Amino acid sequence: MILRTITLLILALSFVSAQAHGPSRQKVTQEIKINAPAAKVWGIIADFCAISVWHPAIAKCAIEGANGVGAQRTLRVGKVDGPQILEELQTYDAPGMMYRYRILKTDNSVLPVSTYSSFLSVKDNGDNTATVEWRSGFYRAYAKGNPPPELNDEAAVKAVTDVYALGLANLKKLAEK
Amino acid sequence: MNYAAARQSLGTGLLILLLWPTVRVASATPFAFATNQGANSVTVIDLANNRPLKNIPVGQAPAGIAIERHHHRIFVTTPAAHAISVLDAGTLTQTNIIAFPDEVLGIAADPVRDRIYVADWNGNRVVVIDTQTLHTVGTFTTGRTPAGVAVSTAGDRLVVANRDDNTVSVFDLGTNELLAIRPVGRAPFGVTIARDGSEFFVANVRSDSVTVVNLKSLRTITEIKVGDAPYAIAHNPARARLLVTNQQSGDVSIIDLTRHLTLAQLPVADYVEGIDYDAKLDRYYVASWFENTLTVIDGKTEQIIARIPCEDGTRAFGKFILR
Repeated sequence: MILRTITLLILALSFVSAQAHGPSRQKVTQEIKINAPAAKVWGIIADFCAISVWHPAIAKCAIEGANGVGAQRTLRVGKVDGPQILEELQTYDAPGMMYRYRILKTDNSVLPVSTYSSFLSVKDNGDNTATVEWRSGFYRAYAKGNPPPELNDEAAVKAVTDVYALGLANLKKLAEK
Repeated sequence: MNYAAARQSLGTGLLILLLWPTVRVASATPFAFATNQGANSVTVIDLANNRPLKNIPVGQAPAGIAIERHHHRIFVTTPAAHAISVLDAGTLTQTNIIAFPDEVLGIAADPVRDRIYVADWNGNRVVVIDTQTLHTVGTFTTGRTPAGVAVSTAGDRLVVANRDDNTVSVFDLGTNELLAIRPVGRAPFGVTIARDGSEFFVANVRSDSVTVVNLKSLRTITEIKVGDAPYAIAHNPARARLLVTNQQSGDVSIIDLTRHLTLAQLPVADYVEGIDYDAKLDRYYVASWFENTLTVIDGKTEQIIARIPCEDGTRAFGKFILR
């Protein structure tokens, strides 16, 4: 019982609310050109919770609400009972093939960020190819000064960059099949 | 003109003035100074023609900015570098670096005294620096995570937004006493004081609102709904307007101050941050952190009239126009 309480406490601490943060927002922008029609690429990512299908690092996704503004998805990273990330759709533009979402709660062991918001969009290049852009603004998770290396600005940028690179590469692979 | 600039002019003669007349800041023309977080620079913009003149290299990840007119100095906070970069407005170069033990962000110049006020993000205090000696001459104890700071035109009041306390601290700069701590919205960030010192305005990031507070009675007048995650505020007294940058919705809320309501949300760009207003040109200037621009909004039509390219990560948090 005590052990269970301690475990829950640790879980509660690691699944942190994304509120306090460092003083300087960071940005990450990544693009990938995909040799497939834009509509096909959009079809793969259009469902907010389809990220568990197209992103190799997301083992499971559960959604609350319809696929539109306000919908919240809970991601499990790595494995189905892995660290959790809670995200919310801020805008959803199907004709424009883009959406914006924010992180409500994250786990600093996999994504040490705060006040994270990102855009995912598909651009039709007009020649049966598409360009997908994934970009975001966020702060490091560590709110106080002199953060430890695993929670500093560089660590936050690297974590997001790695997530984008892995996801976009796999999206290209799936779309070009 | 300050001493260093005067000496340079005398030393090198008229040639410099003839060759590079535009790179020297003349008092007749207004200039904007925009901090670029990603590029570690400050872009100097000639507001007569909306053209960037120069990018001045400064410390790592510049954010806040204040313009000190007595010594023609520009102070730029570089939180990641735990320092302030001091620029000479005459030569447009970095002349000094003031080191801090911690991260500093919000900054404001005293219009009356030779002082700047710097918010110590982690230290729950505002540090007072003498702008002539560049030495610390005092501190004010604030709430948690002080963000935006503002000084009244008369130099009698200092207002500090305590981001993680959801309050503002108001200080009397004559007696150096804390007058009041007042609750505002959630996560207050940018603070702007009305030119006549009658009231001040606070952008509340997490409650998507602006709080209007009477600076005499220190009572809250109203709280106005704006866009998503408001950051900073420009006040235009002649037109009774507040323009508020909204980081997450990427737009600017236009508030009618006589009726205390939002008239429109003008789309600008992703992550708009710093904003300032020039009364003579009747124009607002908005820094766009994701688009690396300074957007110009006409005061009369309230429409965008220009987008001036800056360098990566334009923030310009503070009052950044030199006239």
